[in-house]
Amino acid sequence: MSEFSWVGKPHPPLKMEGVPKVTGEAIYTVDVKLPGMLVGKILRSPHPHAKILRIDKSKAERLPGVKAVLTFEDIPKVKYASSFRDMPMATSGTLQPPDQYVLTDKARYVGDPVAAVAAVDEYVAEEALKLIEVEYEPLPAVFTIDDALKPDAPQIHDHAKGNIAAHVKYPFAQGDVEKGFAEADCVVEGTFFVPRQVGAHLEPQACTAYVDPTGKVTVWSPCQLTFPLRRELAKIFSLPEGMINVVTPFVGGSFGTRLSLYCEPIAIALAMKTGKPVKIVHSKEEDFSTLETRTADRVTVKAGFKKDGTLIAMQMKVYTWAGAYAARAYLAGPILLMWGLGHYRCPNTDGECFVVYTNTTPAGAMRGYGNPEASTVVEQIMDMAAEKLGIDPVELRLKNVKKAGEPSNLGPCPIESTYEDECIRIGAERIGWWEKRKLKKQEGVKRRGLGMAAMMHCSGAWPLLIEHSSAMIKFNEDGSVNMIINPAFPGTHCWTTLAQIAAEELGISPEDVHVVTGSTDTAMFDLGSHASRTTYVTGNAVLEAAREAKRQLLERASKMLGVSPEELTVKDGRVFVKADPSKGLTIGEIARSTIWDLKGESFNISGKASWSSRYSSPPTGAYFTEVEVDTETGEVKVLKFVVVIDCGRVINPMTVEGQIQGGISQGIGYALYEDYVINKKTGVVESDNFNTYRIATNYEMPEEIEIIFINKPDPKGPFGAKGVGEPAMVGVAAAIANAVYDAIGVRLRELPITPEKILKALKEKEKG
Amino acid sequence: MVRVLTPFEYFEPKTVEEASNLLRDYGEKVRVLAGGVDLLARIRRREIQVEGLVCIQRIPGLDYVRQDSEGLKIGALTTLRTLERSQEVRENYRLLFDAIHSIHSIQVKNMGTAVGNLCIATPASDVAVSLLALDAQMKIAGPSSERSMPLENFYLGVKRTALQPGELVTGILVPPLPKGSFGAFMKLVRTATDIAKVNVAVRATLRNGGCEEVRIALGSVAPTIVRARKAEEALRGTRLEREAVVEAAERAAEEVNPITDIRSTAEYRREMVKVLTRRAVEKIKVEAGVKG
Ligand SMILES: Cc1cc2nc3c(=O)[nH]c(=O)nc-3n(C[C@H](O)[C@H](O)[C@H](O)COP(=O)(O)OP(=O)(O)OC[C@H]3O[C@@H](n4cnc5c(N)ncnc54)[C@H](O)[C@@H]3O)c2cc1C
Repeated sequence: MSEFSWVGKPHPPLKMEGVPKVTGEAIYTVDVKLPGMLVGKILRSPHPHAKILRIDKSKAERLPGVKAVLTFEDIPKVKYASSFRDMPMATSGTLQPPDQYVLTDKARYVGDPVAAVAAVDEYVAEEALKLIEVEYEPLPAVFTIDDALKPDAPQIHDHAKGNIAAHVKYPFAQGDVEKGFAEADCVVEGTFFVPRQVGAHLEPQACTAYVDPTGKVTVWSPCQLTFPLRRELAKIFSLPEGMINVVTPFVGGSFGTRLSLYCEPIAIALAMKTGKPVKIVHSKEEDFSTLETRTADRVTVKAGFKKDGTLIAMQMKVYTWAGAYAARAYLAGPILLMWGLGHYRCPNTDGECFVVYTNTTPAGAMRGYGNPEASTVVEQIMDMAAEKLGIDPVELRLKNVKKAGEPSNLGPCPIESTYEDECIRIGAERIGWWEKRKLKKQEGVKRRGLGMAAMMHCSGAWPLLIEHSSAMIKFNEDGSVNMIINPAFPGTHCWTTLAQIAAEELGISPEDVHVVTGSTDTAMFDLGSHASRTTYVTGNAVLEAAREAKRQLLERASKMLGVSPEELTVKDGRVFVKADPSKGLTIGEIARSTIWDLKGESFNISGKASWSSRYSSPPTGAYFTEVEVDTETGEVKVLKFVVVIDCGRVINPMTVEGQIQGGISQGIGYALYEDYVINKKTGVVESDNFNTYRIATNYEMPEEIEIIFINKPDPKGPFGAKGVGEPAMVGVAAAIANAVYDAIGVRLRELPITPEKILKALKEKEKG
Repeated sequence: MVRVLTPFEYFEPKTVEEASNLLRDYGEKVRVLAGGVDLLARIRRREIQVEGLVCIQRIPGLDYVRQDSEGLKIGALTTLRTLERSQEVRENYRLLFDAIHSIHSIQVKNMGTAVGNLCIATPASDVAVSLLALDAQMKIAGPSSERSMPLENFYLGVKRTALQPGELVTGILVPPLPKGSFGAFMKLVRTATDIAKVNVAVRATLRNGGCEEVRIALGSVAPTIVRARKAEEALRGTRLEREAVVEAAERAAEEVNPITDIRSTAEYRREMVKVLTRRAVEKIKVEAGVKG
């Protein structure tokens, strides 16, 4: 029997989290409707790079039904950073420079907002956009890293010479790489290109804004980081934070895309101008061509090993393909270095990253924040080294994985727990690694291959970022509680997980935890949902708050029962004497009599806590896959995946399994299908909807998926949990790439691995 | 960047004649609305401008699938899902079933008609390719006359059909298959639910081990779906020996005129015409029990 009532047990989504979704009743930002609400629309630049010489909005303003037309002249001329300039980089101290205007007078990519309208309906709003006359002076534009770095390239921002948005050295470099390479018995090197990837969430980007007569601004937004969003909006509009309330309804997926700010300030400006609520909803085409994508990067890695496989030197050079604004590429590129150079034990490391502006859609965060990119490159380098050294890829990784107590991948603080070696061993066994590799024959049209990747990620971004969350818990008369928290809930069912944590501590059922969430006015500070942090950081805040509420509960019960609090315990909604369980009270009885105390000693049993994480407990894992490649058509079929994951103690196996299955799907898309196509002449995003941009569906999932949890508690996570949302996809693409090589003996250095590229590579190999 | 439909006039004729008159009177400004799967998406994306829609869903007697001595008859309102679930189609026109079955979205098949699929006039249609290999005829009605036309002549170019002003398609006729006929449908896609990069439908009629008649229809490799006539010639009269099959596959690849687009490259498509044509004929050989 488990020592826990709720932790570690599969729990379906809380009714309040699951039922509205399956019945279609859930209110998402796109569903928000307010009396008198206007429709907002954005006029976007058709040019990738152009000065705006003149805008005439008079015709649009005269169209009946149009309530406001705004251009850059009507908006505070304040630069902002879409990824929130106040996200403090605790280690490096660098902040993203604000480089973007709400409405611009110089377009820097196709889609850059130049004007906005508010009108009574969609038709009028659309018509009004057509009536805005803009005279552009087109400027030469650059769409690729290489073109942007040419000496005569057009300058996209005055502050960024040579279009370099940032040049960052790996902050945790060690030893002397040159000496390391000189001492190495085997050196491998390779340059890879990892592509952009689209979040592809179903709910379009949207925002509704309303300004009440006192000037208080309410914003409904699917942003994952509500409090940082509030702070950035306060700066743009020179408002005190308290005058802005950011409300987050259900979020229809995010995958990192919604870490940034998009149409919120435009909706606010329109609402300020009209005095009416204004709602903006993106079309899918706007989503695909203007929301931040995963960054694309060109990554060169050099790694030196001793004969026995010990990694002794590693160097990385990264060019991050940022878009027109630095956005989250500013962080994602440099963090790629940390994932790549910090995964394995290595005494000599060094690296640098150039974040390069181009006249394309801004790039930034997506699930894994640089780690799927780093993994795709470094895990292939590991396989290349294993082949050259004549060591099995599994053994090579086992030789070099870090142990608990060694420095973590995100900086100097020590790894709290890791079972990466166990993950690798179990995974290899489960997929039949050694037997299958021995039996394999490289002949016939269809060839099979096995591939693997090892993984280390993070639970929250400390020490890079401040990781602060809060929670409040109060008891109701019926013995249930309200849990008031505010990370965003992008569909990971973390209400349920957090309710399990609270319920376990409080001795009640998770369904008796009524979650109150979704507004910066109601909840205390929470950084938000990113970096696989919600269970680990918000979960610790919830646990602390629950402990405080429980302390008050037992204290009150001790007075009522006439025993000391230490003699009491709570389980199944009842407080009782440990030594004599028949002596006790229900929580409802205690809570009710505390709220309605006839002796005049009323109070509300409650707990609140802020948690500022100062630990890094990296989740680790291993991915194994078997693929089949058709050498005549180049098609890759993923037959099987085995994922062994060490995410500490698994609070809810059901939701964790869901995350991992989703991660496999998204990783397969990244590896094989998803191709963000920007027209080389016009800068227009051609893959701008689900028809042209293909993500993996159920049909692309392998028939066999095995998910294994190590399930050993981490010392710092709540009940020993670590993060899992991003880790779920980190190593998937790398494992597939290695399996394709194993099957056909060619290594493609660029994702997605399409049939077209495979056939070309096979032909080149034949030619020799 | 737009999602709403643009305003349009809406007609609901009760007869084919009424529909045809509306089409004649309003000309280019109106379109036939069948299931609306393709049409409404194009209007939303502003790819086409329409002032009116002639909805044919209220016209009785256009939703049928039946087989008689003239062959398989399909009405203009018969959905892909109805065809997929029809026993006649599954058992006697397997090639058509396979093509429809390869479309993964049940929703699309529930809403979309086969005739609507053909009238889009995209060279990527799986349905059109299989019907071309089956020698299908289009039944067409105009304001005062009816005519029928081989599917092969129905397409003039990308999104262009041979329909005259005032004409609409009322149905499809697939002639009876001669004894000893076998078919194979194959396609390559980026992901399962995507439109084909290349698709191939082959139908061969075998007698005494020899290939008496054959059709090779190819999609997504030219402005319209096409027949690979030279490849067919290479097979006609042979016993589908390996050399003949390889020769036919090579010829098919030479006959096509593919382009590079977001789904694939011209080079890959040409190469795949070869692979799929060969594989389709080989599949027929296996099914027919032809050796060698
Ligand atoms: C997500 C998705 C996936 C798809 N996958 C595939 C696939 O894998 N393979 C494939 O082959 N197809 C595929 N399709 C296409 C789909 O089969 C067609 O869009 C559908 O069958 C069209 O039929 P409809 O009745 O909705 O036509 P509508 O959209 O109503 O009409 C389509 C066009 O035909 C015209 N038209 C319709 N009926 C007539 C008539 N009787 N006479 C004259 N003109 C007419 C209309 O004016 C319009 O121009 C897919 C479509 C979608 C949206």
